[in-house]
Amino acid sequence: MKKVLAIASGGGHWKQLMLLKPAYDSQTVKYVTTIKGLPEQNNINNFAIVCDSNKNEKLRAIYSFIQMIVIFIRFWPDVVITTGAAPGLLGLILGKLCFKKTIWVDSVANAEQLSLCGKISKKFADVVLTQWEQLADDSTQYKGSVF
Amino acid sequence: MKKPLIFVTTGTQLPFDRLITQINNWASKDKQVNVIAQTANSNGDYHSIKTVDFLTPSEYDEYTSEATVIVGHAGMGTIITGFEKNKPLILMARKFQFGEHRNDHQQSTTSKFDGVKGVYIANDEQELQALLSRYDQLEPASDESSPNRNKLIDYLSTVIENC
Repeated sequence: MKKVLAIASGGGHWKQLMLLKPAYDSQTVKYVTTIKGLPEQNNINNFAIVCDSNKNEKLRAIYSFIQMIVIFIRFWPDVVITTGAAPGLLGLILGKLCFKKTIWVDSVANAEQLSLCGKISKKFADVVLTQWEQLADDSTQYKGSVF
Repeated sequence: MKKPLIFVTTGTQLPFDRLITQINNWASKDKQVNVIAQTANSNGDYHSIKTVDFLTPSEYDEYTSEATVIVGHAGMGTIITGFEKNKPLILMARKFQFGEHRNDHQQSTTSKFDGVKGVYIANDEQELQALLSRYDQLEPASDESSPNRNKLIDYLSTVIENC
């Protein structure tokens, strides 16, 4: 059994992480999101809530990163998977630094180009997936979509 | 008799007053509906609809289940909710030029979903008003089994299993 740290911000990112849940359901999973009460809606017990952040909120991003470090070290996953956004990227960076398998699934919302976090994730993720076939290239694969 | 519920959401990150103002204007003329809007810290003053900055996840679940139609920004959370709950979706994209988002990705989302069953795109205020006026005749979106999703799940489970 693998230990999977599955991260998504609240809202659409989380919805997509839940739609893909069958991919990691049989493993030991710790979920991380940004909105209280969200994991309970999906009957998830093993989870942590971190503060949300985006590129306009540097202090919150730092706080979120510290929270993520604590969660990461305590859980010590084999795999980090995220559907975005910023907190997921922070988790991937930690995963890469600790030689864990890292997977970025770019949100289906990004049909014209990869999200900013998705572009940055290329430096840290072993697998970068887009959900739009036309966006696949040498560094980004298309392997399906939630729709 | 209970009035039909129109559920409106601008997501969890940013307000979207252009959308809420239009809905408030519409609701002020048609009193036969209840409108509840999650407005994400909007500073607007809306008298004809009920607004809440942020609903709890369980409130969100309750209102979206009860709603006759879901009206929202073109965020994936809103769209996936409509598909999960089998509700008609009226979507209006946030525009970067009006400071409504950090870029224009919601416009590409609406163009990708244009024509999908149960998804109705309002490109401007007039189209939004026209869709609202026939809110009770719209078809629901449906979350049919998705071969693309199964493909993605299979791929991810293989990657995780083999790491």
